[in-house]
This record gives sequence, structure tokens and C-alpha cells, in this order.
Amino acid sequence: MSSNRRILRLNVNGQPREVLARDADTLLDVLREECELTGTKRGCDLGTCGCCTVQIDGEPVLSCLTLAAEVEGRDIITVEGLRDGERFAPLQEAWAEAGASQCGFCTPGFLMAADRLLRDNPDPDRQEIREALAGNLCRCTGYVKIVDAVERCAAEHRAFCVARGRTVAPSEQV
Amino acid sequence: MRVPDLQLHRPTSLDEVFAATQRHGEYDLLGGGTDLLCNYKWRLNVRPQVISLRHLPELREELGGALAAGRTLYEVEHCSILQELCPEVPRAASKIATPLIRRSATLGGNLHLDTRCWHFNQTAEWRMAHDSCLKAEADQCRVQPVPGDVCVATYSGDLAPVLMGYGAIAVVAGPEGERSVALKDYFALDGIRRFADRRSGELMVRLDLPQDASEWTVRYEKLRLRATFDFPEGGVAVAVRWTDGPGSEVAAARIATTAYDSIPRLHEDLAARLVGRCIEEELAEELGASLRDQVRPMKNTSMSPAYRKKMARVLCKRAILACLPSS
Ligand SMILES: Cc1cc2nc3c(=O)[nH]c(=O)nc-3n(C[C@H](O)[C@H](O)[C@H](O)COP(=O)(O)OP(=O)(O)OC[C@H]3O[C@@H](n4cnc5c(N)ncnc54)[C@H](O)[C@@H]3O)c2cc1C
Ligand code: FES
Ligand code: FES
Repeated sequence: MSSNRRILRLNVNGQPREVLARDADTLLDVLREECELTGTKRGCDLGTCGCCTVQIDGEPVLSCLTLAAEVEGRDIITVEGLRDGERFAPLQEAWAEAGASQCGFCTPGFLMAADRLLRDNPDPDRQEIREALAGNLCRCTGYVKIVDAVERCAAEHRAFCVARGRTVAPSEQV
Repeated sequence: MRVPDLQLHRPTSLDEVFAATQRHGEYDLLGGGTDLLCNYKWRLNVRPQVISLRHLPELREELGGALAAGRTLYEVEHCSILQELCPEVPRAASKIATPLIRRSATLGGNLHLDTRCWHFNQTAEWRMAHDSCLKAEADQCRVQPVPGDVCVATYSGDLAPVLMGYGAIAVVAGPEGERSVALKDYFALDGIRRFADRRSGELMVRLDLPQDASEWTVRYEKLRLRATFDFPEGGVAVAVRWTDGPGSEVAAARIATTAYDSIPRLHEDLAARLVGRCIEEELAEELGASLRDQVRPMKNTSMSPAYRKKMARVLCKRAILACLPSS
């Protein structure tokens, strides 16, 4: 069968993109190969690791099980979109400080899921963090430092809000 | 792994779906894709045309006690109306797969989850090396090879037994209009055919709950290796309606299982033994043992059939006792 292709208009990290993709291409295929955003990782490609997590309209979603043509016109944020210009996002800083990455392959997926958790719940306990990250696998760290990193980011964010005297989004905390 | 070539249709109304289904003989419907796309990546029964259900407002409409088939499991899990009306449905949804999968996976897709088997859910290379499977390329079942064999792949959806506990009714729409079928009669005992009376062009639009749904206490117990990611290796839902308030004599009961057959199954004979009785440990143990004797798990999932069978007793007993208000 000849391959069905179409031009897709995607909105990735706030930038409009036009890519030529097969109907069968997943968002992961398109992000990595057409948009050259290789921060999003291809792990299992079957929903069983969470490495490919991105946010679509703010929701963490597995890009390996999402057809790119299904998310035309929606806001797609990848790990590259978390940072603010030259600076890492507070969550990324916390990850580095807590030593929550070893090989780093799982990190983008964890960051995208954890970022959403902190927006829904800026003060999660360790169980809530574990539950929110229960779709992400890490083969290196043993998870303790990953949970530490999210806790640390949340605590720093709360301290920052107190110092400011108002609640701000974690992304404003730079 | 690439999804093989296909043509994607993105209808925005049911009429457009029916037009597409009538135009293309060989198609699959796509909900969240968390089951279908995995199968396609493994070259399992790939169809050239795929019709997306994600852009249909009709699959997201919820009136009164209805659950729209297009709702994601995340939405089901967090829906305050469902938590009030049928709390075990959101609770069971929260035990499915992972939080990330639940953001995309739909209720409709969950109920229509393809049956699973050790010989089927494998890469094309694995299947070629192992003589494949009746549900894929082979002409004989590798689990239970008997002449004229029926596929014994396991139904592993978590929500069906719970919804059966509430007496849910499936509403399907097709070119001929809408019709309703009790969920307990929706499935056919054949891992390939899967549905009792699926008519051309039809899809599930919603599940209706009967008026008395909120009067039922339902509890679901799931057997799996890890507390996340894993499909059920056994699942038992117990539903009771009390004569005179929680913990009193049982006026009506339902017991349903998943992951023990190629369909989710209602065990009416066992449920009848709860009626007119008060729930106590001995009765729960007795019914658990009877369920264990009834189920016939196949050697086609990760855990051994013997263990899954033994666990039917435990799951059933736990689910019965969990119905008591004190639990
Ligand atoms: C790692 C992993 C773990 C999983 N664990 C579990 C688990 O623990 N429990 C569990 O139950 N499932 C599990 N699943 C399977 C799956 O994610 C869920 O069952 C999910 O709800 C399927 O929904 P979907 O919308 O993604 O289905 P899709 O993949 O879109 O579709 C599945 C099937 O349903 C059909 N379909 C979809 N919507 C409709 C409709 N409205 N009418 C008629 N047919 C329709 C499709 O044509 C297809 O045949 C798991 C999957 C993965 C990858
Ligand atoms: S690559 Fe998507 S879940 Fe593993
Ligand atoms: S740091 Fe290596 S997989 Fe997580």
C-alpha cells in the first residue's frame, strides 16, 4: 500500500511547525525525526516505560502511542520547552541537585510528568509523587532521589512564594 | 518500531463515522490507541483504514447516569458524579495501566480491549519463530489445539466486571440507529470474534447505568504482579444490594470476573448463594472456593494458571468482605 502522508501543522514549545508525516507516524516519530527534538526518548515504544512523555494541552501523554495527526492544532510541550531560555527550569535544577539522573534516559519523561503534578498539586507528599510517577520507569536510580527531587522543587517553590508574598507558577520561579 | 502504513480518518460526527465505515470494508476504530497501536506496531491484524473516535462530541456527552465511551480513564477516575453514583468504577479505573496511559485510554477502548495471549502479543519475528497463533497468522491455537478450535486468548479489561456489577447497559450506534444491550450479554466466548452481536459500522457511544445503580455496593479486586503497568491476571467484582442498609441481609447480588476467560463473565449461580444471607467470613470463603473451582484460566499470561485459579478464591473472598461497611 502506498504511504498516506499529509502536512501537519503542529504547535511545539510555542512554535508553529509544518511537517510532512505519514498518517501512521506517532508524535514521537515526528518530534524526534522531523522536528529534531531528541530530548523526548524512545524507550519501549509500547507504553511500558514513560520515556516518551510530553505534554499536550498541559496533560502528560505518551508520544509513542499518540498518532501525530491526532494532535494537530494542540499545544505540545517537550522537555526542551520546560527550560526558560538559557536557564533550566526549577524542576530541572532540583533534579540535578538531588542526583536524580544517572544515565538520564528516563529523565525527560519523569520531568514532564512531575511538572504536571506540581502544577496540580504544589505540595505533594511522597506517596502522591510516587503515584503520579507510576508510569515512568528508571533503570538506574532506584527512585528515591527522583522523589527527593520533586519534593525539593516543591519545597523551594513554596519558599519562593512565601518570599514573594504570593503564589506564582513554578515556571516563573527563575 | 513504526506503525505500519494506514489511512487515518478524523470524523467529527457519528454520521461521518458511518459514511467512512460504509466506504471502507476493512477498518479499525481508534480510541486512545493504547491497545490498538501496540498491536499495530507488532503487526497484529493491521487494517488499512483507521477511523479515529477522538473528535466526536457524541462520544463525550454525559447525561444523568451515563458514561460516555470517549471519556478517558483519567476523566473517569476523577469524575465527582461517578464517585457519587458508582464509586467502584473510578476506583477500578485508577488501577488500570499507568497514570500516563490513563490520560489517553478511553472507556470504550477499555471495554473493547483486544483479548491477550502469550502467543499473540509478541513481535512478528517471535511469532514466526514459534508457529504464531490462531488469532494472528496460524491456523491452530497453540494454547489449546483442538480441531475446529476457538481462540482462548484472555480478556483483560478491568472495567467490564465492575460495570457488570452495577448492571450497566451498553448503547451502540450504527447506520441503522442506536440500540442497547446489557453489558453482560455484549461479549462472545471466542477470543477472535469477541462480541455477541456486533453489526457492521457499529460503535459504542455510552454506557447507561440503571436507576438503582447507586443502591449497589460494588468492590473489585485485581491480581497483578506490580501495582502499576500490569494487566489483571485475575479480577473479581462483587456487587450487593442490601435489604435494610449496609451490612444487613443481601437482597440481590452479582459476581463478575475478568482475566479468567476470553470474556468478562457473570457468575449468576454463585451470586444467588449470597441472596438472603448476611455476609460473613465463612460464606465469603465458601463462595471463593466455588469460584476457584469454576474458573479455567489458560496457560497464556505471565502467571501460572494454577496460581491464578487459587487466587480466584482469595480475590472473591476479599471482594465479598470488602462490601461490608466495616471493611
Ligand atoms: C503498558 C500497558 C498496560 C496496560 N494495563 C492495562 C490494565 O491494567 N487494565 C486494562 O484494562 N487495560 C490495560 N491496558 C490496555 C489499554 O491501555 C486500556 O484497556 C485502554 O482503556 C484501552 O483504551 P484505548 O482508548 O486506548 O483503546 P484503543 O487502543 O483505541 O482501542 C482498543 C480497541 O477498542 C476499540 N474501540 C475503541 N473505542 C471504541 C468504541 N467507542 N466502540 C467500539 N470499539 C471501540 C478499537 O477499535 C480497538 O479494537 C494496558 C496497556 C498498556 C500499553
Ligand atoms: S517509549 Fe513511550 S512509553 Fe516507552
Ligand atoms: S537515570 Fe538511567 S534510566 Fe533513569
